[in-house]
Amino acid sequence: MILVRKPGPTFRDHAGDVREQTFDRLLTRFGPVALWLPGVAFMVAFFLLPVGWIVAQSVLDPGFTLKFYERLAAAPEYALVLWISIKIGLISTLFTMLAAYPVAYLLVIAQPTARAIMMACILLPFWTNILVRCYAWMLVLQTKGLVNTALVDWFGVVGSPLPLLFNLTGVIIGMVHYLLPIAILTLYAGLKTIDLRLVRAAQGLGANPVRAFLAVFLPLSLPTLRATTMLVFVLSLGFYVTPALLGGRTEITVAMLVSTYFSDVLNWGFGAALAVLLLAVTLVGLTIYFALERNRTRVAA
Amino acid sequence: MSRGDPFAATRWVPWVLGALVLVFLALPLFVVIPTAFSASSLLRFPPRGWSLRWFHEYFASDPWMRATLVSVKAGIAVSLLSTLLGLGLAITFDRFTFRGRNILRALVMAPLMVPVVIIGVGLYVVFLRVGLNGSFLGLVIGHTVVTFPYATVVIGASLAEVDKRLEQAAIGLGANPVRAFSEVTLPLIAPGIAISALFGFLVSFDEVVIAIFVTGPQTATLPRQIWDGIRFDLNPTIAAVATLLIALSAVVLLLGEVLRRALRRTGDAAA
Amino acid sequence: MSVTTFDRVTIEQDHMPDGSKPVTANTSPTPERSPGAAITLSTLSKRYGASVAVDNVSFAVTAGEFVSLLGPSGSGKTTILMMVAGFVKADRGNVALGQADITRVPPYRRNIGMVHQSYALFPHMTVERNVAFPLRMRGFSRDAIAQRVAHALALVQLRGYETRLPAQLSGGQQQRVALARALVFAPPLLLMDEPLGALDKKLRVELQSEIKRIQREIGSTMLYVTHDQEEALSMSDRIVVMNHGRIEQVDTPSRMYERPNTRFVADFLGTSNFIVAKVEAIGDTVLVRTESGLLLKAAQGVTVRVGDRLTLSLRPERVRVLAPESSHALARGTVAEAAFFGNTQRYAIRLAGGETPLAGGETLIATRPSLGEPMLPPGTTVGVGWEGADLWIIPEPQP
Repeated sequence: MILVRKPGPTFRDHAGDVREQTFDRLLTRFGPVALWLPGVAFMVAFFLLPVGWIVAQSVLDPGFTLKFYERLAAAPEYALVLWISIKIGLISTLFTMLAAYPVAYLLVIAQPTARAIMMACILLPFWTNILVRCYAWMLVLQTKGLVNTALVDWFGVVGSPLPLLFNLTGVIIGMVHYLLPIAILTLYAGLKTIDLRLVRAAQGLGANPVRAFLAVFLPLSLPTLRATTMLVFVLSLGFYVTPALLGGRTEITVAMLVSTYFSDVLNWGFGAALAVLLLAVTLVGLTIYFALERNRTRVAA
Repeated sequence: MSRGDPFAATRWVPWVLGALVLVFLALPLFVVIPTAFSASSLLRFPPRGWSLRWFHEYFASDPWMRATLVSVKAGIAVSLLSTLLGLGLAITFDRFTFRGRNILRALVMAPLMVPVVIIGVGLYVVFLRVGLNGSFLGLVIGHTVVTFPYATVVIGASLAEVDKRLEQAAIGLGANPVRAFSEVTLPLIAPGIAISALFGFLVSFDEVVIAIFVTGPQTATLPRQIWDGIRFDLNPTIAAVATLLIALSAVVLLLGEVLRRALRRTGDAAA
Repeated sequence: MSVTTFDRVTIEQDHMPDGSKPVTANTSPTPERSPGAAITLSTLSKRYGASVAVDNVSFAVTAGEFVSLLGPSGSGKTTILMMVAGFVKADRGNVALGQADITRVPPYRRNIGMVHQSYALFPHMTVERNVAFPLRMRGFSRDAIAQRVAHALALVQLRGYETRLPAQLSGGQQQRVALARALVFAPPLLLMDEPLGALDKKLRVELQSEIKRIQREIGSTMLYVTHDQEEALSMSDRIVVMNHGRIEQVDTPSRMYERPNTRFVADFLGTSNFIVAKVEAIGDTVLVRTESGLLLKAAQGVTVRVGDRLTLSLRPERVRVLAPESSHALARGTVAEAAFFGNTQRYAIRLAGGETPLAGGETLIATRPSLGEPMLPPGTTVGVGWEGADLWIIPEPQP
């Protein structure tokens, strides 16, 4: 090391040497790109491209054609499948929301300890493999399963086991079980923002708890309720695993049909048309959901 | 004012309803677990006799073990990849304003909204063209598509907690932007990154639909194995696997909670 | 007084022949001296959308000087500091450090020490690691780092706090760590942005003198932003007063206080009475006549012509409260308000008869040291007087 004694200011040249300057220039020019490019490129290549390809497949054979859509519109079987999907979706959504609302309400008013316990009960199924959940319901709903054993052997309520599996009932139960945590958590996020002091104020003004709830809390919760219902319905349309495992031959959803046409029947064009149909309905539903969400936050502000 | 409260009963209503729903949610899982320990291969409830034979079957079986290994390796790879991609995007959303911002955000969230079947089928078609079908790489890619939106959100949330002026101070003190990030911000968002990696692993490990379309016999994941098995017989071995999976979810949830507490602590310090 | 100083011991080039960073070590046992650098700001301008943050600001700071940027919020002082630091890019103008134009240089290369309003201590690092941070960024050796950190902490009187975390420190201690961190690498320039704003009065005053002492000891140039005029007056070699993005005046504290260039400065630094008058005659003193007819002497030093309409400033401490019949009284009035401040008394006096010569106020403010004197109750008739030299003409052009 050289000891240098200088009479005047000795700070380093401020711009840095050439290597440092190049580094600075590269950083400013390419830094931001390096951050978003991998993610965006990945998304384009492995999400937009595949989905786009499917859309393209639905109108190519190999030239442009609408014959798949025509077949879709013409044959009543597909309208039936669509109707089944919607029916399953509606029923699932109804039961899900009916069950989710009380729980979300409890989460809002509960003490932290109670809330933590409830959260554990909700989060564990939520993060459990869907196959495990379906399998569990298969065990519970089968003829020798928990429910039937209880009904027939323990309580003697019915004479012979009820058919709860491989039919609509099984599918609904399975789907509600899958959708519930999502519904509860989404609903809770929205209900959390309701000012409970308003409810207390209503009670202070003479309303009994039931009326206070009906007159104050319920109306305030409606926007969240609407938005969550829409979200749950949209999600329920895309179900594939649950109806396949818990349903019977009549419970075929659009999603299942798409899969069949791609892996078993190998009619890609037609499968793609079905997929586009599903996608279109989903997108419409999502648009409505986002519009409802935007409205909700605007109203709440 | 000792008027009897005629509505005392109604106060219990939501609690009773809630309890029923929570039992509904948790019950099935607690049916699986005893079944895994039952001695007989008949699936009755309650099971007759206890034994560990289904667990032995699982660990002794080549297909099951191979599938488990694939799932573990894929889970780790997916967790890393999605965290990296998510980190880059989260930083972008946090630091920069640009015109296509909302569109980009919608694009990133889209895989979570679109029915998984469509993604699965689309990837199947594309992979066939490029020869990635049935490959491990294809599996990792497919799973990353549905995990990295989540990573972006979680890391984005923890980034938002960190005071931007800290990095600015570091830069003023002589650190170039990369070093300022790695020395100051990165340690502060480490719990968030860990959470996204952890849940990325879990999502990939549990993912079934994309796996069905994208894996081949060599790269069958554990869920794929279960799917094949479950449609044809309800062998209690599956119950054993299911129990292990439930345990895995529980462990991940606990770890996640621990990390979340750590995140809140550094958030308080940094704010 | 000549002090032999070893400047930061460094090699001539920036890098060793083999390309690695130079290892710098302080072998001198005496307190670190970092010879300050002169700063030159030329025609700096910055606007955000329609609003102008900084409007054509130019001034120069000599090496080792302590300069305050003083002004109300929104006056542009922080923006200027940010431009010197490199975090805000000027629309126009240059910043030079010594001979080097650093306008285009990124902030991490400018070798400037900065203390922020929020201290910005890294919460996950100990005091020691916080202070060592700039040294690590510059590639100092472990021994050099340990030595300098110890020295810096001693300078701010925080020896022994090395292993504490920022969350365990009080506000004043955090501020001192931030200061130690900013000067540990011997920067030629120190920037401080209202560093004492969050502290209570007593602590503020204590830290003010500490900061001043440290700055003098290490010799860095200091650019200090504050909205507190007392702080600026007590600490600075020179003050730059800013308003609406423009410089109002640059001067030493005492000159600026006694001879404010604009009404804004007169009112911002301390308080002032303002008298409106017209120049009547110019001789050995300037004679001005107020609208109410008072003929007053004014201080010399500002060029005026007969007939000019002026605002004159009169500091309250120069106004003497006299008996109404005193021959020194220039005017008479009654005490409207009387306030006791411990060591000073303050009176608001309503002048008698006719129009008030005062601009924008009904009363003349007078202060005097208490010195055991009883307070004059409101309603007392008094006379007021002052020296001609106390009446200062504000050179600001009149509408």
